Amino acid sequence: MTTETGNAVNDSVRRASGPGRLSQVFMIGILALLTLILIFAGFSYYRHSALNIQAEKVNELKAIAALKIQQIVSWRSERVTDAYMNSSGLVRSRILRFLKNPADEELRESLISYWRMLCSSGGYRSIYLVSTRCVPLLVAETGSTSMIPSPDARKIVSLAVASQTVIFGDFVQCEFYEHVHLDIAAPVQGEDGQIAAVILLNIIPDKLLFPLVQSWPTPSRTAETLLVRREGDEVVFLNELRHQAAQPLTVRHSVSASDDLPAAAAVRGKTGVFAGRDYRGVNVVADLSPIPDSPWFMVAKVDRDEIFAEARSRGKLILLLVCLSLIVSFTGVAFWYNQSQVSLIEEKFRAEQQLSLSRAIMTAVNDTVFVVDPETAKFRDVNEVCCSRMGFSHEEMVKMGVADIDPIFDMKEWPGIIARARQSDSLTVESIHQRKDGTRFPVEISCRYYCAEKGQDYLIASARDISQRKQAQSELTKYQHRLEELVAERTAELEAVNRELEAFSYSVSHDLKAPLRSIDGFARYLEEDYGKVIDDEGRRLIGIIRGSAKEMGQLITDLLAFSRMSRKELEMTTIDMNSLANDVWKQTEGLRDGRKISFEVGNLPAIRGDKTAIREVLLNLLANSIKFTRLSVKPQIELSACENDGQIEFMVKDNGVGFDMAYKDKLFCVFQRLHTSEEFEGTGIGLAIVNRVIQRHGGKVRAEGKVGGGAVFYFTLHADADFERAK
Amino acid sequence: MESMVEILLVEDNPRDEEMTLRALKKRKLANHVHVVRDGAEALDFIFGQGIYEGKTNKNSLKVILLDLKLPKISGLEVLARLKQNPETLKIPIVVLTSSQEERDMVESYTLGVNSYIVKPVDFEKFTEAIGELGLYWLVINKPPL
Repeated sequence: MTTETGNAVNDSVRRASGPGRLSQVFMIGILALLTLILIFAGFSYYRHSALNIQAEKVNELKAIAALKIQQIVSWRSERVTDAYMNSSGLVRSRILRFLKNPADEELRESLISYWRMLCSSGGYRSIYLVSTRCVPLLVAETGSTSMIPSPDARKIVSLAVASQTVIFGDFVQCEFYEHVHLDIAAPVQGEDGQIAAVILLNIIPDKLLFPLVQSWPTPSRTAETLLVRREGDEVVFLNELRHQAAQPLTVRHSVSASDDLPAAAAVRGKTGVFAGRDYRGVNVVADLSPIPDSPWFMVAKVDRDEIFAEARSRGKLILLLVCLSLIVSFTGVAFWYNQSQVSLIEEKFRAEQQLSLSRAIMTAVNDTVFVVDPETAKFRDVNEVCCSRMGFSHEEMVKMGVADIDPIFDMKEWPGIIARARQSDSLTVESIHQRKDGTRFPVEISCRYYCAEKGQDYLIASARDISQRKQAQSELTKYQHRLEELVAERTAELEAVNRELEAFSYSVSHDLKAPLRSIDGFARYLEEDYGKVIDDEGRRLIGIIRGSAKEMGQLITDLLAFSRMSRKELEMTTIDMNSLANDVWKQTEGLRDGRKISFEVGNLPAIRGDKTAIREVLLNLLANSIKFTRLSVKPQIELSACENDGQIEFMVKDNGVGFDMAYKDKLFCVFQRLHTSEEFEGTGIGLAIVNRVIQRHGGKVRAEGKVGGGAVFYFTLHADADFERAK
Repeated sequence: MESMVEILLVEDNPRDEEMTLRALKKRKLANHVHVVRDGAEALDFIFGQGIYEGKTNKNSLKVILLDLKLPKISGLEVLARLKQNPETLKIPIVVLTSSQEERDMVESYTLGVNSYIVKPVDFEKFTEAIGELGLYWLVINKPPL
């Protein structure tokens, strides 16, 4: 078989892989959808989370900024309060007293110690009591500080003297002080209402303010608060920077040239949340607000990265989750697909096994096997045996159809064949196949219709070369014919013999009897015409001649009767035995010689038979009884019948001389006699005729009797069912 | 014999013929008997042909005694021809034969025979039978006019 064989089964394999392709598409679809959903869900969640986190962070920033402002404001107001406290009330009176009596050491010492205490509690570097012209009068200081107020202090003092209010200075860096500092000047009113002196509070922000500003309530990597102020077109950073080692007041940026600098935006008057780039050039989110009652602005900022870091990490988490989900989904789908592939492969394997089995069977069988398309009657496949027997190649065969190899095929009959094949398990038809070389041979084709689960059904047909069977059949038929011929010949021969026999008996009856009649007749004429010249002895001899002639005549007659009864064609009719019996009895009147014989006939049923023949039977039996009762004193003859096993048994009984049962078998044979002619005349043919007739009617005869005790003759005949029923 | 023939005896056996004639003579019925030996001659005699050219006897015959086994044309065929011919079908025909064959009997009656008599071997019976039938057909029976 070539590699293309088993196409029909291959089809089923291909069909089996159909769902595989479908599942592949289905699987890819599911995966794509799943991916899209997961990505979309992940992205949405990420976006939502990021916005939330951002808003949270910004709110936190704003809250912290507000807190800081409040702290700075309260810090400032505390400082102002300190300034007022030291320029009024008890401290003022003591200052005034000191001014009147500068040599009062006790007073001096008490003021200085008080201010020193204030320095440490209020975070001041030094507290001066200066004249309105800023000449130091008293100095309370911590550590090694200059005894001389800074140049900026003079301006503030003069401002304070002029305005007679507390002047809050700004951060300055001067040559006298190492640190950035800030001065608050509080004028001290004299008794006369004129400004007597000025209290100068010198503050180093490093100590209290900057830590306050720079501290952040939550842990943060990049959070920073800046205090800035505007100086012309510049924004000046007042406190130390977290991310840049620089002295306060040294970092300056152009306000007009730094659009996205949060500090510049703050000094331009912008408040609230601002996204920009800080002094490092790093993207930040800042909260801007001016600090009330001061030239300062506060910038609370966090790196944008830090704000988004959480969102990003959340995003990473989400991405991870999405990836994990995708992996799980892909794995699941892949597992499912794999399973289905496995089952597909198993199915395919089974189909292939089936295929190889089918191939094996197709190859193994010694019959030609066709796989036929039930629609078109074309071959889908054939086996090797088929190819070799038909003389075509496999390639040729699969392009052919039933019509190409069956010369008596009629496509009109095809649907009928298919319908019959579908109805019955298998269908066997006889046809003729033609080989490629044109030779034909008779085949017996067994078809079986197969319903495919889906798609095309097919018909498996196997064809068997029945040439030998056909030959055997034809030979058998020939023998049958020969036998019939022989029988016919024999029959003809028999018929010829029969005809000869008939002709023989015909001539016997005619030609043998005529001379006998002549012998008798002419002997009689001799007696009549020459009686006077013939003596008694001559007449006795003439009597013997005549007797013998008569006797021979009777023999011939009886023999012919027997022969007739044997050959006669029986005409079966319904016979009313009662009337027939009476008829025959009347017929025997001549035999009775006027004797009185009692004849009793029972109620006889009708039978089926040949009336002439049955009449002969009755006649012979009654004649017999009449003959053998000749010596009886009161002769009696009985005719009766009884039913026995579906047959009617007739009985003729007489009280005549009877017979010896030892010879009962001889009774019914031709020419067999139990009595001499002297006792009872007869030819011994009567009972032979009875026997022959009853035999030919399918019945039996028998006889019972004893010497001197009468005789009973029985014969059976078939009842006439129709007649009985009619009765 | 030259006068009107009333009985035609068709019989090939001269001994039977003699016995038949003797029996008829006993009853004084032998005066108008003509004897032929075979079927062909019988037909010639009746229809006035062949050696009987010019004289038909079909109108005078009162009975034909016909044996069945005859040379040339059989008794049954003679019977058939006479009974099929409208001119002769009314002539009474008695088959006088040795044959007890049922077939012959049935055939004869089918063809329209008027009587079928089996020749008895017994001389007395034979003589009596012939005498009786002669008397019957010639004297008792009234033929149609």
